[in-house]
Amino acid sequence: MYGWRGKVGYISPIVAETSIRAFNEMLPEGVTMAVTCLSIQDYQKKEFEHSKAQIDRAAEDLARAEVDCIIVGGAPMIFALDGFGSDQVIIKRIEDKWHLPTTTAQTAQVEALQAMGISKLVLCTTLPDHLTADKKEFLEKSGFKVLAAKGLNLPNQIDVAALPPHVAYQIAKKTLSEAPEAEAVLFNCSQWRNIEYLQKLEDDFGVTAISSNAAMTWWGLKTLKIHDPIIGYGRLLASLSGGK
Amino acid sequence: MYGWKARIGSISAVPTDILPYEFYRIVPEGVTLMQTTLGIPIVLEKDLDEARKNIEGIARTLAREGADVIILGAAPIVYFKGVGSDKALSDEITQATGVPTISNQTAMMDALKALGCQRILLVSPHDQVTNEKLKRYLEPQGFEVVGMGGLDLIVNAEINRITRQQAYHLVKDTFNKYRGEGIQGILLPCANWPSSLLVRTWEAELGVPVVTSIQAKIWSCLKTLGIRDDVKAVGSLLETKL
Repeated sequence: MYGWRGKVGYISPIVAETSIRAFNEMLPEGVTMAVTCLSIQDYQKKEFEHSKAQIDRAAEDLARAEVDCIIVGGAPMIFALDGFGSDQVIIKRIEDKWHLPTTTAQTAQVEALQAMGISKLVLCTTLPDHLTADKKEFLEKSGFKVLAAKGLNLPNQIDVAALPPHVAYQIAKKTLSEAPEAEAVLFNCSQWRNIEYLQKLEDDFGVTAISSNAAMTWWGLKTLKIHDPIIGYGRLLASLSGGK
Repeated sequence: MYGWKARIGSISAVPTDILPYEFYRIVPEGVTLMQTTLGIPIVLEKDLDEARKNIEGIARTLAREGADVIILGAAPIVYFKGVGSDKALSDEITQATGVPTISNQTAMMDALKALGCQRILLVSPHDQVTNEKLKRYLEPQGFEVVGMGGLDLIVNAEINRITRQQAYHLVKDTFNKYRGEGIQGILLPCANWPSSLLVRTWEAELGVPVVTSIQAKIWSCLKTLGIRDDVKAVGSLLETKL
């Protein structure tokens, strides 16, 4: 048993690749991640609907694997389908059935921004423009001001996986230049390689940088009451140990 | 992209933290795991039949997402079905997806052969029934199973809870029980218990090669892809047979 301190269950929107790699890099000794998968092939509403119907089965798989908490990935299923508040419906349903602390990727991002005291941010996504707009709307309904939003307009995660690693840094730099009063930059998508740029963005631009995988890792560790120093991936994860 | 050298598609029986944990402590930089699951909570034949129906669809998804090779886990799906079903399944999936596909069962047997192990000790977390089925699968294929040991577990969550201490002692105690039987190698099936990072220890202490499910998966995929450098030193299979 490697997850002797805690095991985080993650429902990946499709094949889990970058997320697993990132989690294994960030998680401290004794904490592991067990993953099950939905099947969102493209960023299309019918794909989101189809995968949303699989969430309960996926949560059951994780509960049977005896995870200590559950994260439902695939944020577009939340903000592009039923919108603001629908994440809480999913969370309550899973918690009531399995009595396990549960969040969604979208919820974890909102809570991470709130925990860092952020009110104004820029948003960088891999998504087509209409989905970037949906995510922006969700964030604004959550109480944030999204000063600028840029998407890479990719149709699916196949293209996200193929992105060169520095794209995250470059799109953030460009978007931040359009909104100098931003306090943070938020990246979507668990398949997007970007955790090694979070600290660099914070050091270079004086903002808080949060990605989907960082937010989920933070939520998982916080939920498990683990406060190891996770340094080098931005203020959010460093805050778990008070920056020590 | 993390997988700039190679992306290994994997279909596991259940959500497991063991495979990615051990995988990323063994493979070189630039190799990633693309993980999917079948959802088999218990290793019973009726669950395996159901899971087998889903494999092709999941493999097609892995191919679409860019996997360079696919490894089919849940080895009981194969050895419950009889000799030759490992190759039949992997050929079927290779044909359907266009991506080289290997069954974990085949990988384990190929690994034993590469290491020159014909008289083998079988040690697993499973019960006697499951071990006997695997023995009946191995023996017509040139192996002689000279002894077996297990923990009588069939629920995957219980298997996942095995500690390294338990695994270490199970293998050593079983080896000592059959020490006089001319053991040439030890096979540890099942990717849901912590075994791959103990291989070097067992090999040093017991004096024979040890093949685990996860090491065999990784070895078979890296060999298929021609990747040899910078693999962590975790045992004779990956250190000497790539």
